[in-house]
Amino acid sequence: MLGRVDYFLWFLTALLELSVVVCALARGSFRRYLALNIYMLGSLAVTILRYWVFSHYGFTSAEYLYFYYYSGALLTVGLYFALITLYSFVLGELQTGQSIRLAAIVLLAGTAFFSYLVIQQSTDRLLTRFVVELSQNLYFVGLVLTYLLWGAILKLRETRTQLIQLVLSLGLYFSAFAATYAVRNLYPNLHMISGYVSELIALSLPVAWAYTIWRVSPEARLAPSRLVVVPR
Amino acid sequence: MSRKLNSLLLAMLVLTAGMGLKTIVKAHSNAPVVVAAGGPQPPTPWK
Repeated sequence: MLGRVDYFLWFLTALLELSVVVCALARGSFRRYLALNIYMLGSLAVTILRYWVFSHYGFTSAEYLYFYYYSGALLTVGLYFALITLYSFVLGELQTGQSIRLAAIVLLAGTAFFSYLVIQQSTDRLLTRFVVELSQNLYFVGLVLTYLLWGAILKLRETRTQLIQLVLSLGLYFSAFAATYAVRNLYPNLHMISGYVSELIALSLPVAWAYTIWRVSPEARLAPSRLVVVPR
Repeated sequence: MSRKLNSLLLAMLVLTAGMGLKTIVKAHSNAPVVVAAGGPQPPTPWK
């Protein structure tokens, strides 16, 4: 049985996802960050469709359960590709487009293969186990990729404020996700609280992206010295 | 050729780092945390 907080968070998620797309359209950034906006539109569609499935079949139904995990896996792959496009922004001047695409495809295929190796011993619901495993593994790969991208931003003295904030928000999102895992592992009794925390983490990404696109001008620059403290 | 090999090596290193991190963080927990989009998370069908 869902409480008022669950409905509120659900509605708020849809509202914030919509706000990212509206902010991008209003600021003329929709095409600049096309992959991010497509991900947000997909996320909004999934949020609405999940509510539709929930209201027709119920929270404990097999329909809601399967739709939740399968749509989550698709969105995770979408977020992975959105993150890869940020690499293209940062490393664009190095003419590394082809290498990035190759590495991204190999990494996705490798993660899928690793996920299959983990679940291949299971006897039932092999495909569902696979999509859940793939989603989780892609989140951890995304975490490593985001920190690598942050390293590249510091190394290349990237100054575009909007881009820096988008990458930082992804870093925060993935780090919080990994931290939730660790807390669940350390304190299994906090399952109820960590469920809400997970939903709040999911909210943090559209909030940060909407704020960045709405408030930060695409031409805004950060002084490189403010990004890294140079040891004296 | 070297660039392609570097891309493959980097992809493998990222995969190793990601899976290593997952092993450290997740340990023996089987609880999935999928936080993409809205909606309360149902229990997995194999529980």
